[in-house]
Amino acid sequence: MAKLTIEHVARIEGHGNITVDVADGVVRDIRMDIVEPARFFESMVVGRRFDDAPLITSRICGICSPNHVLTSIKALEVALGVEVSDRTALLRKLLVYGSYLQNHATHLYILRRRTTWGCRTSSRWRIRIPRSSSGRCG
Amino acid sequence: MAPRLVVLSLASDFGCQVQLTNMTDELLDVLGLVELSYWQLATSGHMPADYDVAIVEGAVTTAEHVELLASVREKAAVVIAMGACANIGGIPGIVGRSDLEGRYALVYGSGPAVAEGRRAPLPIDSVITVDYHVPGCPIDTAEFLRVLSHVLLGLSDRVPDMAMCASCKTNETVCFFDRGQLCLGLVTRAGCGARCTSLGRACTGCRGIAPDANLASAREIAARAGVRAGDLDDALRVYNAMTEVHA
Repeated sequence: MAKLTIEHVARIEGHGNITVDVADGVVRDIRMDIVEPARFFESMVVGRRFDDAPLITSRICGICSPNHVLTSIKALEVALGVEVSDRTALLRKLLVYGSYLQNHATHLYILRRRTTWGCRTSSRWRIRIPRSSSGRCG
Repeated sequence: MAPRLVVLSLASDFGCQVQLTNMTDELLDVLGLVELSYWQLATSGHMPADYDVAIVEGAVTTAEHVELLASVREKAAVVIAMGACANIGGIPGIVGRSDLEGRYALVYGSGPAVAEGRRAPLPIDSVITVDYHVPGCPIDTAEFLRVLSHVLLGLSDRVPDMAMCASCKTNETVCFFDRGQLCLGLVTRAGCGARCTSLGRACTGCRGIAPDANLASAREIAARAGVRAGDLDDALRVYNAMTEVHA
């Protein structure tokens, strides 16, 4: 049986390993291990002021922090029986959609640029910006 | 030859690395000046055997981190601590020094095994010598660029020692204490231009406590403004729980 191991999968947020077991040319098992160092967020907010929670939990992930902020705020609102205005709800949607746009742009143009555009990159890390309408690498 | 650069992360949320990808106007210029040898977030290769400059994000929370940092210090001529976690312990530092196993049981129960060799979260200069500091949660990209240019030019760099209040005065921002609200600017290291307070939000202390901060006086000012006793220290324990001066 052959074992393929990818330690610290690249171009993603966080630390993850993938192990693939192959026997007679057939994949027998695939395992993903999250090797992220534990930070114990659930325990961090215990005993603190309620309004510290959104700031603290927003740092669960630096890429999707707006979602963590809003999730935390919504949890507090459920606990305290707070209902927000339509305007606040819409502003929150705008925040989340904005973060989607930013994340996808970052992923497309920075993290995946080579696989997306088929650009060859040298050992020196470079972004090639398409200059023609055909989207070829400039 | 262009300096070979690696970007590494310990216990963090990758937010400072995302800030690097947000330097849209300057990223290409920066990449033209260095050889980016390894950055897990944005490149596919493995960690190289040799490099010149290491940018480290995140707090030290495992035995593996300690080993990694020892190897980084051996290889890199320059180590840059990036962000609050790497510089002061930051958000991961909230868990403190005691009862890590209790917290593990609370969060993970008998679930999956996570990183072994758990340690109290500490800034990286608790383990190795750090040459340059870019504090903040997340980092300010302008400050990062200043520090990196100093590194590339072989110049020293000094994070300001003064408190954030000085920046607020320059910005003519109305003091939060005048409105009876708690703000940590009066004990927090300046250097970000007091961005949060300019945007109407009190300082959360993410850049660390200024070396000459007068905590006793700060507590008096907070009390005079009607802030509940203990709130200032509680607020400091969000980013600065691992900094002893306030304990």
